[in-house]
Parts: sequence; structure tokens; C-alpha cells
Amino acid sequence: MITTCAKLFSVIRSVLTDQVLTNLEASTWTAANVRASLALLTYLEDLTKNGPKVLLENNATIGAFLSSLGDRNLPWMSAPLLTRCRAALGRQARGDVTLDRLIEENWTLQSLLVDVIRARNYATGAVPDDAFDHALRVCISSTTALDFSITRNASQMPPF
Amino acid sequence: MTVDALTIQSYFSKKLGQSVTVDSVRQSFPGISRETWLVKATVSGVPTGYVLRIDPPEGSGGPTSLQFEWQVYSALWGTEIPVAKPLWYADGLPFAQGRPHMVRALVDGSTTVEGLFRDTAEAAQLRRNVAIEAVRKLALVHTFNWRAAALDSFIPAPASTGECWTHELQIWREHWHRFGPIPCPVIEEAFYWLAPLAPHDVPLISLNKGNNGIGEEIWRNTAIVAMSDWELASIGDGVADLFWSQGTLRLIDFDEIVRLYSEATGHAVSPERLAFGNAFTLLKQTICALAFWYRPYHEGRTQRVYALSGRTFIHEIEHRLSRCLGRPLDETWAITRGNEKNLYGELGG
Repeated sequence: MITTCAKLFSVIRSVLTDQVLTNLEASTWTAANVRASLALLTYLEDLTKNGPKVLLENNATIGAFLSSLGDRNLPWMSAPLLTRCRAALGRQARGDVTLDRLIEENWTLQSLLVDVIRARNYATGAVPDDAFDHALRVCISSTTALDFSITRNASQMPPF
Repeated sequence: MTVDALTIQSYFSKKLGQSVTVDSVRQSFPGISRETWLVKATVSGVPTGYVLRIDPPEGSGGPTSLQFEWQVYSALWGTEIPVAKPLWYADGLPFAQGRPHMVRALVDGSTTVEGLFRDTAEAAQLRRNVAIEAVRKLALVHTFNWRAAALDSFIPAPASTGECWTHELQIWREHWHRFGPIPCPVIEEAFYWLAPLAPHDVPLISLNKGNNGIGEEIWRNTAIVAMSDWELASIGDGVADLFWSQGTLRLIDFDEIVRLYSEATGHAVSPERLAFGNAFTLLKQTICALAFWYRPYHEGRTQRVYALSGRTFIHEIEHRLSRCLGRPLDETWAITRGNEKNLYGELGG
């Protein structure tokens, strides 16, 4: 399957680069769209080439962070939220997963982190906790780096 | 093509009450937030140019409506800030499937500067001239008397100079909470991290252009003859504009840009404002890409490749922002200013 995908991506790239772009003026709207499509193709290619990555399976940092939440005794952390964090540790997908499942798994974890952040931000009288903030931010950075497996590809993307 | 020459010809003839023959119609590059069509026509025998700006079928590609943009043009037309003459705004008509649209006069020039990225001494001088022109025009916008032009009647303004950045953070927090399509811990934490770092030493409250520079303004040689695309116009600390210039203000040494900007505005720029403006812009760009470009794709309202690429383009910026969280602002400078490339150069503009 991956070999077939790789071949398909290669053919699409070759046609767009060698046969389409060479016949378009570089500054045209159409050429810009073709180049954007090539960037997207690289992104999709990475997804298949590297295999789907599930955040929890591939990122020990987020697993350790979620595990540690119960030990930290954070006054703003509600029991239901803590239960969801513990449940997330047990719901990881392994092995071959579909892209839809990959997205669902990763978004569940991202969503959980957002809920943790909002619970802290909107808690009345929450006392700043540097150790927790540091652990959370390391977790976010690590999660973002792995998100959708496109870090290598992203480094080649043009910024604004 | 969502509009064509014959449709425009019929609509313009009726609107202007004159005989209009459309000679050419071309869609401008890249049209991420809105469609922009360059129309060359003959009106009662006189060659005339128009720019037709239309919301895409899936709706506005930014946080403001096209009517907002129309109001900015109308307020600035005839002032010292060069903008194309606004002609009319309409929505709900049979034309363009009822989508909001505005028409302005076509100003002779281009959104790109020919030869800007060549590897020659002439091109180096060209880059220098372009960067200096861009920063001087931004200074003109930032020292403009927006109160006299009543821009604050439709653009929210901070109550005082010291509140510019908290005001800006509040506006973008609301945008994100209202329009954010996916859970994003980086954005949530960035608001929490940045809030206590907001500088209060802003010397004046300015009209801000928003996205600016190459690809946005109309250039004739190295002069900006019309400032365009005001969809991200705001009122606050002008320093924010120095960080969304499509690479234009990176064409020469940034220290020189800051010196020129300070001279032109008459106000020094503190390192704290620079560092905060830089970090804040990463947050704003991430929100724009996800909440306004990617969201229509996410919700199944468009298949446009630019909508989906909003998700991929932004990933590098999101990743850099995530590495800044919790650090002192001066440390974030090196993390976020590492890439000297720019969007239009990469896309061949």
C-alpha cells in the first residue's frame, strides 16, 4: 500500500512539476495554486511515508504529563477532568490505524490539553504554579512537534 | 471562474448607467482571504480600470466583513494615505451569487516588484529601496489621525496607550473562542503566557494596516501608490505591522528598519514592544490560518487548496510559537526570527 502511494505521489509530483508548471508563467494565480498543491502533496506524502503516528503512542512526554496530573494535587483540577485524563491513557490506538482514527485520537488528546489549560485559566483564585506550567509547556511543544507527523515537512514550508 | 466578463459587463452597465464593454478580466494572485478581479473596460468609449473584490463562496476569509474593508477605504480616500478610490459596495444582488463585493478604481501598478529576488547588485539596491518605502508608508499609517477620520466608529480602539496590547489580546482571544475549528493547546497557552508580558510603554495609539508589503500594496517601481487589502486593519500599537510584511521588512537589516521607523514616527521603539509584537504576530497568524482559512475546509464549505494549505502552511509557525511558551520575550526572538524566506518569494511572486 505504501509503495503504491509513494509511486502515485511521485507521478503526480512529476506531472505537476515537469509538465504543468513549466507551461505556466510563474507569477500567475494558477501557477501559485499548483505550487500550493505541491506543498500539500508533500504533507500527504509524509503522512503515508512515515506511517500514521498517534500522539500518545509516539510521545512519552504527553503520557507522562497526563499520568502525573493526579499526583500534583492541583486544586482547580476537577474529578471529571482527572478521570478523562486517566481514560485517555488507556484509549491509545496501536499498529495500523486509518487516517480518520489517527485524527480522532490526536484531537482527543489535543482537546484534553485545551480543557486542562482552560480549567487552570478560569479557576477563581488559582495560584501560579511554575512547575506545572513548565511541564505543560514542554508537553505542548512536544505534542505540536509530533502533531500529524509533519515536523520535517513543516520546516520546508514558507512562512508569511 | 466564478464571475465572467459578460456577467461583469451586464452588471457594471446597469450600475453605472452607461455603455460598458469589458476588455479583460483577470483574477489576482493569490486571493487567500478574498477574490480580487482586475477588470479593464471601456465605459462610454473611455478606457477604465476597476478592481472587483468579492467574498469567496464559503464566506469571508478573515475576521472582518467586506463591508468593514469598504468602510476603511471610504474613510482613507482623499487623505494622505494612498488608497484606490472606492466606488461602491453591495451584497444580496443577483451578481456573484449574492455575495458581498466592492468595486474600487484600478490603480496603475503591481502587487509585486519585478526582479526583487534576483542575485545582482541592482536587485540588492531594489530590495533596499522597497523595504525603506514600505516602512515609511507604515509610519505614515501609524501617525495618521484616525480619530479625525472616525475610524474608531467601526474599528474597536483601546481606551489608552497603555492598554493597546491587552485590547489586542482580548480581540484575538474572542476570535479564537468564536471561530477556532480544532482544539489547539498552543494557542490557548499562548494567550495565558503573553497576557502578563504585554508592554505598556506604547507612545501612541495607531491605525494598523494588518497584512502589508509585497503582495498587498500596489507598487509602481519602488513606490507604493495604493495601500490595499485592509481586512486586518485595527487600532493599537503600530509595531504589530512590522511583523506581517510578507518578508518586505526583512529585505534589509531589521535594525535599520526599526531606526527608520522610529525616525519617521518620531517615537523610539522599546525592545519589549518589538519582542512582544513579534511573538504576538505568531499567535495572530496561527489563528488566522486555522480560524479563517482552514475552517471553511474543515466544515466542508470549500475544497479550495489554499483553505487546506492554511493548515499546513501554519504548522511551522505554530511549532515555533510552542517553543516560545514560558520563555522570556528576549529569548523568543532567536527562535522566531530564524527563517529569512518569505511567502511570495517561495511561491514565485
